[in-house]
Amino acid sequence: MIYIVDNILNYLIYLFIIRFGFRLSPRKNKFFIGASMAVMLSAGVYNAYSDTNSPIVYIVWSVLSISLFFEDRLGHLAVLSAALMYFTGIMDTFSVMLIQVVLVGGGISDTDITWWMEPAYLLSFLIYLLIYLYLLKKNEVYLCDIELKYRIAVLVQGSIFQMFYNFVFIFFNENHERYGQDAYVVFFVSIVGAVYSVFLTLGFAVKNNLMEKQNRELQSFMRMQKQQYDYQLQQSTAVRRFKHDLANHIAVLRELMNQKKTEAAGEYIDTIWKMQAEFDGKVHTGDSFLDVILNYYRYLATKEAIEFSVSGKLKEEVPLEMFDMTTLMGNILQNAVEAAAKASVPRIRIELIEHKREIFIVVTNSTAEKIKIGKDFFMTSKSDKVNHGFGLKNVIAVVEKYHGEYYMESVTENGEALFQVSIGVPKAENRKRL
Amino acid sequence: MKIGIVEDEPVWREKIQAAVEKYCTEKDVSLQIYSCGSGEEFMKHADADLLFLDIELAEGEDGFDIAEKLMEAGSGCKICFLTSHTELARFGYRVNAFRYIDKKHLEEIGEALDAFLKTRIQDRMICCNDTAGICRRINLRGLVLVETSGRNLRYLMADGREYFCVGKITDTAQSLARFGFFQIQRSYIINLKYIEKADSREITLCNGMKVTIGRTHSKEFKREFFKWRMYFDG
Repeated sequence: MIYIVDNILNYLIYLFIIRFGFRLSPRKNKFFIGASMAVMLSAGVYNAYSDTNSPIVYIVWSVLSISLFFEDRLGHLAVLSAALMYFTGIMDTFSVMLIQVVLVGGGISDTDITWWMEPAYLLSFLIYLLIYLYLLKKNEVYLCDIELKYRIAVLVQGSIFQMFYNFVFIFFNENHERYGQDAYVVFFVSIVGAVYSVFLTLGFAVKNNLMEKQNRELQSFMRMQKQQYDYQLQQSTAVRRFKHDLANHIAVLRELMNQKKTEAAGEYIDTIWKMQAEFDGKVHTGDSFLDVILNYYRYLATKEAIEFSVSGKLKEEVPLEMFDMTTLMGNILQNAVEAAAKASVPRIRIELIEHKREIFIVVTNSTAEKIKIGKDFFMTSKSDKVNHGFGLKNVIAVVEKYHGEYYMESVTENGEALFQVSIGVPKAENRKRL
Repeated sequence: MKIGIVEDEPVWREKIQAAVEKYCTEKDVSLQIYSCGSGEEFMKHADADLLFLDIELAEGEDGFDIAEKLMEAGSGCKICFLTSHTELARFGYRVNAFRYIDKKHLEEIGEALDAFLKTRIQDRMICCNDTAGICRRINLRGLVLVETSGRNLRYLMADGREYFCVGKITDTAQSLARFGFFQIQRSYIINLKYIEKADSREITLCNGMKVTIGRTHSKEFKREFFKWRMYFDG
């Protein structure tokens, strides 16, 4: 019986770590879930029947039942489950030793499974839960986001500690009577220290991930700013050139008027008028900073032969700081331009809607095919996958910062595949009340 | 639908009128147009559901002032300002109007009318048979909620009146869904217009009543309420 309980508890811990730590989803087909449980239980029954806990059986059932339970690449699942089995084994050893030493008072030197293994699993689970709540969930960085080198580091760190503890434990067993209370304290402090150092390594990895994320955000902001600066520079050069020619234009006009060629003068004025209209931004939303961004993407879209339309005006400026506005609109519009360029009818439509309490921005673009919105939502079709696919994550971060709401959806309008991002942000005075 | 047009230049006035008429003929919407050359003239009647109003009018009249006067007078009419490119830069958008339409892009009138008709989606009557079998005509605009009451449905109006009618809540929810109503839990259908406050667990209606959001409806409610606020909220 104990073998079966043991397997069930381990199984639940695996499921918890993979589901919440690695954020993998269970398979939709219930048959696989059933098979996964059957493998785990039959291994328990086999162990109980033969009264052994063979490592081979343990590895086989762990890897097999995890691979059956989750939806992912098989190779990845196999490696992940083997590594996880190894790591949880180490953590369980720590918990077992701690319980043996603190609760049982040491002296139990045989390795047979007894009932005190079960509280040890609970203690391990408590550690995982704390790591999940205070490290992963709090920072919204999960084990799957952490670089491989850190994951390996935690594993290696764990195994080193395990070797070290095997010696310490033997030493403790032999000498605790001689050293009394001190031996217990030292043992307790060092085992907690071992767990804490694993926690620290993970914390470092999480922090590193956050820094990289911030770095990427800044880089993308800088890139967008640079592009907009180039565009403004180009515009200002054109304006200077026009200003330079203005004297010539007036001279021509004066000459035409002297010669009483009013019709020709009229045509000339029309030509100059059109030229100056080109410098004036086409988009006026009521928010001057939004205008700069929209005019820039309008320019990019026009270059790619994408129809670009903006409807709606704002009485108030969008309550976002400049940095956030660039990140938000820059990322959405960058994606929109790239996707629309591949569509058979390339177009981007932006709607601005202002109500008493909120401002809504809706960006719709045509796409070549319907975008699947699922767990791979942030996946990118761009070849450089390391630096891409974060755009929409940044968008979400900005919306959440301002207590807003967002929806991203694929829609079909008159047979045309469209991608739509809708954002609602409370106006500044409303946000203060939140 | 009653449309007002205030524009001092006859050429633009006619163009706008033609665009509105074309839209209404195509969409088969009944139309009454009141077109005039000055704000003063319009204010004498001041009766329109949607007003196309020029910003810079003759004799120093200002479209924004007219709009503000209309609002002060408690007029419920929505305003579409007519602008020319140069005016935009000078005036900004002082008033939160329904639309600002560039005279160079009068095709935007169609979109504005589409959006306006959407906001009037609850301007309709439905007929429900009460427990005595008599047809009760219920104005959707004034209907706050529908709830199950024994084997019947209770229709609660904004003015406090209530009707007990026969019907199934799921069928009613389905037929009211496209008019801005949402079945928030097993026994309640809510008019999204009357929601004062909403969080992830419950909503508070204008009359102070609180209704818990059903767990399975929560995600969809959030989305529907977002859409409602975006497109229909005045």
